Amino acid sequence: MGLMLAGCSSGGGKPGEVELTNVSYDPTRELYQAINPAFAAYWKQKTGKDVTFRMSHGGSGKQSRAIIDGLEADVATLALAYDIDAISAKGKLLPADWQKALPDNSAPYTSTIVFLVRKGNPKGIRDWGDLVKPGVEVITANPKTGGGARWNFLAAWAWGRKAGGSDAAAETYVKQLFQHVPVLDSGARGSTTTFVERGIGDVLISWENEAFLAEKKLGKGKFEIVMPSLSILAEPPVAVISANAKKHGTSEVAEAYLRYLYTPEAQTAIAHNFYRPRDPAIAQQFKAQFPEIPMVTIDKDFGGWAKAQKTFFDDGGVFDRIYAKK
Amino acid sequence: MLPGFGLSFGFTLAWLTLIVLIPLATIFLKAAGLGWSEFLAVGFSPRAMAAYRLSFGTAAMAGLVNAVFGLLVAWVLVRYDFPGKQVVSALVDLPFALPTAVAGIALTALYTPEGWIGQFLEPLGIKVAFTWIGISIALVFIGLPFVVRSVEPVLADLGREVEEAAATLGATRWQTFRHVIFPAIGPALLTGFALAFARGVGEYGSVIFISGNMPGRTEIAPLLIVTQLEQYAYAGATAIAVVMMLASFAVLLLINLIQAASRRRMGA
Amino acid sequence: MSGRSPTTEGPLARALLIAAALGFLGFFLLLPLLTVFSEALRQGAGPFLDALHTADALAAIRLTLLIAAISVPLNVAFGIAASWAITKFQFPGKALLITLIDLPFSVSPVVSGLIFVLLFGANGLFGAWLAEHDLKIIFAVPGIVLATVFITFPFVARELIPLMLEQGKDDEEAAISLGANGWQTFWHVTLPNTAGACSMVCCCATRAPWASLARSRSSRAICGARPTRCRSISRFSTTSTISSAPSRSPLSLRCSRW
Repeated sequence: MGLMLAGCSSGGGKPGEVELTNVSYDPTRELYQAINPAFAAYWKQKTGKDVTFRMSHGGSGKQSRAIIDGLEADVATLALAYDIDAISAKGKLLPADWQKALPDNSAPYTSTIVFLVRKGNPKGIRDWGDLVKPGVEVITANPKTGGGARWNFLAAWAWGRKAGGSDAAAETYVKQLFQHVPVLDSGARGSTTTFVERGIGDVLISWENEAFLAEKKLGKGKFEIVMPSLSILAEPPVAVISANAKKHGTSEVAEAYLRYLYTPEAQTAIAHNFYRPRDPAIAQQFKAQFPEIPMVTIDKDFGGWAKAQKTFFDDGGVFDRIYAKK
Repeated sequence: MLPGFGLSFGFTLAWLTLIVLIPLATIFLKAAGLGWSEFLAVGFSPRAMAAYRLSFGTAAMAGLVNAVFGLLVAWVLVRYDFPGKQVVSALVDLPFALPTAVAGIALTALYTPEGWIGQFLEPLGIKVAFTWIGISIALVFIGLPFVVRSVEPVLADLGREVEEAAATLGATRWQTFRHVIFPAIGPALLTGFALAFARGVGEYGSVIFISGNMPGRTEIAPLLIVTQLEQYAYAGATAIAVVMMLASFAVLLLINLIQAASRRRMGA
Repeated sequence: MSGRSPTTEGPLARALLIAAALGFLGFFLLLPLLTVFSEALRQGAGPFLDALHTADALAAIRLTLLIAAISVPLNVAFGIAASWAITKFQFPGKALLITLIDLPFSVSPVVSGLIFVLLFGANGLFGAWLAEHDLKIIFAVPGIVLATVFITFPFVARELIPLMLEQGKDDEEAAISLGANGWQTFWHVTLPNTAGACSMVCCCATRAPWASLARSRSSRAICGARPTRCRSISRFSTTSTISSAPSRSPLSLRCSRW
């Protein structure tokens, strides 16, 4: 039996108070805990109105389905554009070109995929090629069930393709890589637990923000972050779910909320929560924290999410092929 | 003849239809939208078959373990007095009350090579976490209350007169148990097994952490359903659900028929 | 044989059986539970206790009570009717009926959430109609009640049936032959006979909603201790599929903070 999250009585109390429902994915909890009060103060000052928030966090795909199935989110802030595309395609709750509504592909913060290794890096892991050396155990989640794991997979693919010069080489590399994976958790959080708490594996392929969290908070002094020579630009997008916002009369505040994410104040909070800020000035300030590494992008190098999903992760795709009879 | 058949039977049937049959029918309806060939492709793929074998096999295994030890626990709780009995009795229900994910995480922590129990098993070459053994252990944990709580009331209600009669006739304690007590509690025990088994087949939260989820090896059937949902393939998800449901139905029906037959043989 | 009753075992056998039962429970039940508590309390009891006193926790308790208040009577009424029909009468297809009652247990939590989405979700069978009339079922209390009733459906009936079977129907038939009518027989014979089990069964039926409360508590407590945990925890749950919802509702109680 599950946890019950009630739909609770909506439509807050006092007049002049609006309520905004932000449906997000797992690791953004602290980020929005920092940003929401700041936006509320900003909005109060600007319009004299109070805004309160209801947050929902969960796996990105599951959250997307909840919105499609009727969870009335005003804004969605998910892990990948594919999940918001689905809300548009299957739920018809926002226009198909939603990603053009806000700057930078509607992704006010970015992240990338890095390695987390144990203190002192005993297996000497420096780059993707080291992951398939004998005796190295790699922890990553199942890309069919976890959004974060899809970024991991594509980053590995990109390196394999660059190193070997072809898609065939990339597939060989990724197949080898998954032979080094002893446990396939269903999501990024699960694999972090497996690596950090259970002590399984030599290297965790992880979101950069999660890796920082593990390094700085979960296991201070027990882990190190390794930046590979090539990674992928992860753009967690945000969007107003326009049909719901219109129904709630929150279109204006919802849009202002998402635009607020691009302001210097919000961008600073973003950097403090280990996401890479978009604002060049703020990025400059945090340069030491976020070293620049070459990154591929989903649109340029993989032809967008729809194509990548179909090629790699849908039934019968590359990932299934890797695990089909060895 | 007792009265009330029409009323109780009618109410049972109406409520069953409303709460169970109609909702379950939607699963079949959705799966029917797939068409035969795709239904077979999704519902009977090699990976799905491996997952069914794993889910049903481990659930049956856990059900058997629970039938034996659940009976033992129920027996001890009903028949004997010992210090701390109330606490033990309350403990039995805890798997009901614990979030399955919490149970899963705790079991995984225990049985990984560095865990409290795992560290002793590892040198012996026994791997529990991330194998089918770990899955079975998780299912034993969540299934235990079903057997204990099915058997307990029947055992408590069992009159001592027959046992006394058996003893008077010179039966040993073991003979009395085998020929008098066991047949009386048999149906309850089967019920407990059936419930623990049924629960184990569909269990997700507690298993997902300890199973390791390796495709074709430790991937349980409910995980495949989640995989389908992640692709927004609701119909594909229902295809696997339908296969699981029909298989569970067949197994449960078999158990219930055996139960009915044994009751008739005993001439109840 | 110093006065030992013929219907119990010798002290040695008794000690062995108790030891075996406790050993099994200790290994398979107590140890995992201890692990849970040791994890939850790793940061001391403070965060654990704090977690129980938040507005979110109180909201969750209220919601749980409400759901139990609705679903338990429904399940008890059904359970009594079903076990009466099944144990006191002969009719064809009885095993089939029992099996259908069992079926919800075998339905994966993953699927039972999906069922209600397919029925009442925005794109479900009744979705359009519900939206038109501005009615909410999933992501709201009715959905949680429905899911709870569905999941706990077999509980009462399944625990009463073996007991009523064992008791047979002699008492009831005697009452009838003495001139009692059906209701009188039920109230004065059947119900007292099964009262013990009934109350236990009611506890059982209540447990399901309480379980979710306990769940939120413990996960929250674990949240306090370990972020990684709570995150993963928050994803797994039946009802969460159909009622995953914004915080300020019990949802957040799982782990709105680290």
